[in-house]
Amino acid sequence: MLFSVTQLRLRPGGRKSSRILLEAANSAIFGRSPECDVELADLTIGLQHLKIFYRDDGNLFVELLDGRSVSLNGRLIKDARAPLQTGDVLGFNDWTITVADDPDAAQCVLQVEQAEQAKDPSILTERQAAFNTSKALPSSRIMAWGGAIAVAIFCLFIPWYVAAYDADSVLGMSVENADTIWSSGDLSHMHANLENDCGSCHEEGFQSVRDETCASCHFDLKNHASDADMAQSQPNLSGWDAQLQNISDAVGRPAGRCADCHSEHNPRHLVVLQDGSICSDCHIDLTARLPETDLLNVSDFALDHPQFRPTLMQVSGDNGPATIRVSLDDNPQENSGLKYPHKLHIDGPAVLKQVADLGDDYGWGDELVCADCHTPDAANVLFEPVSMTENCAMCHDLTFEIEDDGYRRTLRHGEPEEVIASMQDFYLAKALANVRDAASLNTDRRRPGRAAMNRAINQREMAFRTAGLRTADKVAAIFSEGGACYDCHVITPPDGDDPLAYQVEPVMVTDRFLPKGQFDHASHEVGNLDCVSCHRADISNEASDVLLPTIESCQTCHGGQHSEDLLPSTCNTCHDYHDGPHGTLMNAADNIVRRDILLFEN
Amino acid sequence: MASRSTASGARSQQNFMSHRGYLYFKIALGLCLLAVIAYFASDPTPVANGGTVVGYTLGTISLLIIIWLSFLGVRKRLMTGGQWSLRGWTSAHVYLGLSLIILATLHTGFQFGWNIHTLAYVLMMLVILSGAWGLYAYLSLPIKMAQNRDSMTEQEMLVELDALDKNLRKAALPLRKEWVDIVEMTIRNSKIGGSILSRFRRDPASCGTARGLVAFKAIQTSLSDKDVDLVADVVAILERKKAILYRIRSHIRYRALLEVWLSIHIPVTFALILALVAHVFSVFYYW
Repeated sequence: MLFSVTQLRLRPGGRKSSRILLEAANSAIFGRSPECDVELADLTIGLQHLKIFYRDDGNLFVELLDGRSVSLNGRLIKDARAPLQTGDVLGFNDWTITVADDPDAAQCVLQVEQAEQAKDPSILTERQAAFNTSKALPSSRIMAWGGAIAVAIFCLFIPWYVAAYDADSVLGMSVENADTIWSSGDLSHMHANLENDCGSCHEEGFQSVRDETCASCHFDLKNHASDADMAQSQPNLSGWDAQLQNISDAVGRPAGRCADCHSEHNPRHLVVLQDGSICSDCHIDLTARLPETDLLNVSDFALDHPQFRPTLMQVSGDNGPATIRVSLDDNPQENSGLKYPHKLHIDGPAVLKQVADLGDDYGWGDELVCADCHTPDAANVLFEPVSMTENCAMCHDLTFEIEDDGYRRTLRHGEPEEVIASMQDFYLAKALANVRDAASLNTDRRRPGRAAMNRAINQREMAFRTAGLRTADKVAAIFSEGGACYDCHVITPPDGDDPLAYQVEPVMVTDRFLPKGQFDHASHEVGNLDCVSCHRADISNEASDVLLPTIESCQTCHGGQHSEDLLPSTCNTCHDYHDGPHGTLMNAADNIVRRDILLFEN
Repeated sequence: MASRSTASGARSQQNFMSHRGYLYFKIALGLCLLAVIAYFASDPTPVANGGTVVGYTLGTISLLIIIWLSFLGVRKRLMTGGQWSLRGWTSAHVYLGLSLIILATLHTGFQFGWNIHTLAYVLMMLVILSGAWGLYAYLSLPIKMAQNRDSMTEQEMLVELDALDKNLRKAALPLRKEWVDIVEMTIRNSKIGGSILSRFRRDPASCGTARGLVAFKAIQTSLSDKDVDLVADVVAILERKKAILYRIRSHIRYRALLEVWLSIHIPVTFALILALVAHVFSVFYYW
């Protein structure tokens, strides 16, 4: 018995063609090895996969060689060999071998067929996709719209919703303070508590922060000058600057807003503008626009600043002393009502002797120094007022009489009428005591009667008169040259009948000569600077001397705003915009809706 | 200039960079110089920021430029020519886009923070930097790509790869099972393309072909006479396949380098435009 082997192939169009692989064989080995009788080009099968042969008894058998998982009519062959009959189909991997009768050859035909390798279109596109970078990336369209929508929601819509409706949540999602993403920078430390509350300053959308909003917290801050003066002082802009100002005005940002000088969301230290130009805009030629002003023009500390003009008290009045500002270049004279030669107290022989006597008691050194009388105030900025009892009385004794037992009768300082009255009382009491003592010492019996009475009256009259004369002498002594009061005070002697009508001129000691400037003594304790470096007390013989340093003295260290070799100093270094007598309340208190200040609650 | 460059055609070295004698480069440079002068000549109070006169001006100019630049995507889909040729647009796009690095940075006054304003700036810089990369890629990579392709088309490369696989399978037919497994492994594991990161590797260690080659070379040291020629055939095919794979992967890498920037440039531009809307809106809402 013999069989032949043919291979069926599918042609385009669905037609099958047949090709004879082997003819008239009674045994054939199928496998991929070239040595096989029927070579099947498929790496997935064995070198010698199986063998089909006629046994001697004429039966057709299949024997498995390398092959595994060979099925016969769909059922796996479990034994090493199995009989085949016409119509049986062997299957392994992609292959089928069908046992068929060949009607022409009258012999068995084994039809070998490889299952059609389905052309997987995805494989082709996968191959081509290998070159296409965009296939490896998420869709640009989705990324573009996704990103844009995310930004629109989280950076635009939600912050706007929070800002416009003061909302805390959107669709159940907490969005508290979501509008802080709009903040263009940190707030200064003073406003740090408002950092998450944009609406506290930005009250209305699309509207610049208004001065009224600032004033709702800063309600007691002084403005620089009256609104009328401020308006009149503004520089006359022209050209480009005028156009800019017109635009600013049109969009609700007039000149002179709080925010012009106090700019938030910038570096924190810049919340108070230091630039001198904001002052010199008006002050460079203020007198031209504001003729009635008593201020002088100024634009830069080094280049264009008038000499200091200390404010001096002239004469006392019911509403405080009248003052006048005199330039240090014009030999200003202070009218304090005191006589105090500084030089005498520094190196005068009498003072030095006194210092030697009393120095140990009061902690003085070899001579008096400034600090022995001038005590810094609590802030270490200015000085405590000099006081008679604290600073003078240890030397300037107000004793006017020493009793026999050594008790010192002293005068009350600061009340001249009381001084005169107490001296009157004292000397009168002394005179009366003498009359009494004389009567008690007289042991002679006296005849009663009118003469005795008259004599007693005469003695008292004498005593009164004597006491009066004595008082007049003593009062005149203390109020005259060499006297305790006269040494320090300016005295007006009596010009009428009353010999006791001495007057002490009112004392007007200036505690702040330059009230429009700030001066911090503590911050000037540098290098070998001492008091007389600036205040020449060591050569001052008159109390009327104004011992202030001139601007030239300051300018040895302080330069203008743009100085490169000296300490750059702006207007703000010494002056405060909101302080001073030119200020009025920023807003009348009853116009202000006071805001709850959250400073301490948060 | 435009007519000359078209007339002289390929002979001219002009491209969109040198369009009309670097006209847009000069315009962009002039803009930048003006901005720098304005920035340093002005005396902003209290400090340079986006809200000064110079700040608003630079911001407005930058915004207008960004809007115009983003219309290149629309413009390039329209067929026109002449004075406003696409090449001219591209030239202006590149130079004005680069000028934003100066204009917008001066607009910020160097104030940055965790806010919408800096977000817009960062997005803009991402767009510009990705565009700058794209510019570099467009100017430098096509030559390298051509050298690498060596006149082969992408299709030809794929066909070659396919043919080599077929040859490989054919050559492996007489081989024993474990060697066939190696051959199958080389075919299975010699992937091209794939994830975006794998596209940048032209000689990946995981490549089945390279590993199979190593394995077969080891096998070659101890072979029976019968197998020597068979294995030599396989090795020869693998060597060829390794070479074509290197070329294909280089090509894929160049294409990735050439195309990936656009996947940043375009989507980030969309986000940038919305961020700018939020930036401008917020600035004037909280004025």
